[in-house]
Amino acid sequence: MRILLRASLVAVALSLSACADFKVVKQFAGETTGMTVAVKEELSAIAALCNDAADLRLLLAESGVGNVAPQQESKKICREETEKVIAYQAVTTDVLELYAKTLLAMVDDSNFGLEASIASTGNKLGALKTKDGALIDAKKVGAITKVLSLLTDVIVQRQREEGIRRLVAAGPDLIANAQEIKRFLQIEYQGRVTRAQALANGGVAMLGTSGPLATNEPIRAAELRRALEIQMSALGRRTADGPVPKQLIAALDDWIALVPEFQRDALKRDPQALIQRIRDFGKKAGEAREAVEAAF
Amino acid sequence: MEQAKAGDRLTRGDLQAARQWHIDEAEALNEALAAAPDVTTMGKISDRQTELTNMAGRLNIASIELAIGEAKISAEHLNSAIAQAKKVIDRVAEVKAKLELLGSVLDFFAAVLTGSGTKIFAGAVQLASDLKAADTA
Repeated sequence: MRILLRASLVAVALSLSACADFKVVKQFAGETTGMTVAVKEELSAIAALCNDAADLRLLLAESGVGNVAPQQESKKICREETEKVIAYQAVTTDVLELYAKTLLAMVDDSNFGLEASIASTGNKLGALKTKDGALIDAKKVGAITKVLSLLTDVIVQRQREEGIRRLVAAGPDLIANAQEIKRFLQIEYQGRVTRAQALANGGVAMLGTSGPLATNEPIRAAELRRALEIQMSALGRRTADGPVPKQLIAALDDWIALVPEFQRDALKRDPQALIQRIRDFGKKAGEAREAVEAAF
Repeated sequence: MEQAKAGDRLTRGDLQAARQWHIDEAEALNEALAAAPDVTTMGKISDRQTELTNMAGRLNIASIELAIGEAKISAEHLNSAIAQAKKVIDRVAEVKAKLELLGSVLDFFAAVLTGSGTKIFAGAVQLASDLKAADTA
């Protein structure tokens, strides 16, 4: 009788500890999603900014200032960058978001639509590889593919605790994905920003109050200058020192540092230090979101 | 010169200095744009500025596979070409002449984008000739 009582007390204790651990898992998943939302918003923003800069110069060309062809080429390059480079970053970010959603689904014991979302992300990745294999590094694609395979497996197996354990253990591949996003923000993203800035600065020079455009059509020139000021303000927040990439990279760096701690402590009883750590990361993710939202 | 083998490419890292040069030269045209006396002149400068930013955009996302068996072009070759071009272009005050020289550099980088060592080499020879002509003019 005593043994039975003891066994049931142990079972209750274990289940309680499991609930507390899974709360931490949920917390981590929630804050991870906050970070991926910020990244995805910014990917949309930078895609739009390139087009906006090109559009304004095209407008001027269509009004007779220079030729239309180079400006149309400029828009084409924006589009190609979006389809190749930004699309790849979107897939990388989707993978991290899906990881978080799968964690949540396993904790809540539900997985509505996740299999389809995972498959869709896999298809998008496959399409990118086929379009221009040289742009996509095989090692980087490997990290994405491994995470997607793990997520599919965990969902299909539907073994809650085992699934959560496997997801918690998926550190290195997740970190590789986050590092890729960070690399993009430091390199190709900055290339896109400086190109858009060069176009915008040129527009400002063309629309100067003492120039022929302003002399011939002062009202229109003033309107276009106002549109340019908005563009330049948005771009200014996105330079290498600007708040948008700085906060996003800070959030990514913090998440990368957090992952091994999460791996180590997520399934322990009452991991107070980890709970606080995740809260601190959540603040950084929030700051990144605010920086993105304030910049547009 | 060494010949390119399968898998040889110019990476984005190799093209970074070239990319930045195109952006810098595009920005350097703003003074001429602001001072343009008429819409026609402004249009020509605007076209060239956009062409420079377009090339920067192409170099931002490029990973250029080098043609097997043709001359193996390196980042050093490209950076040397840019350094030579910069020296001459910086000395040219006349806007029209500057735009023409920038066009010569753009033609060279159009060849670079093909990955063909033969075309790139021919482009480099042409660019050197254009720069020399401008320098002695």
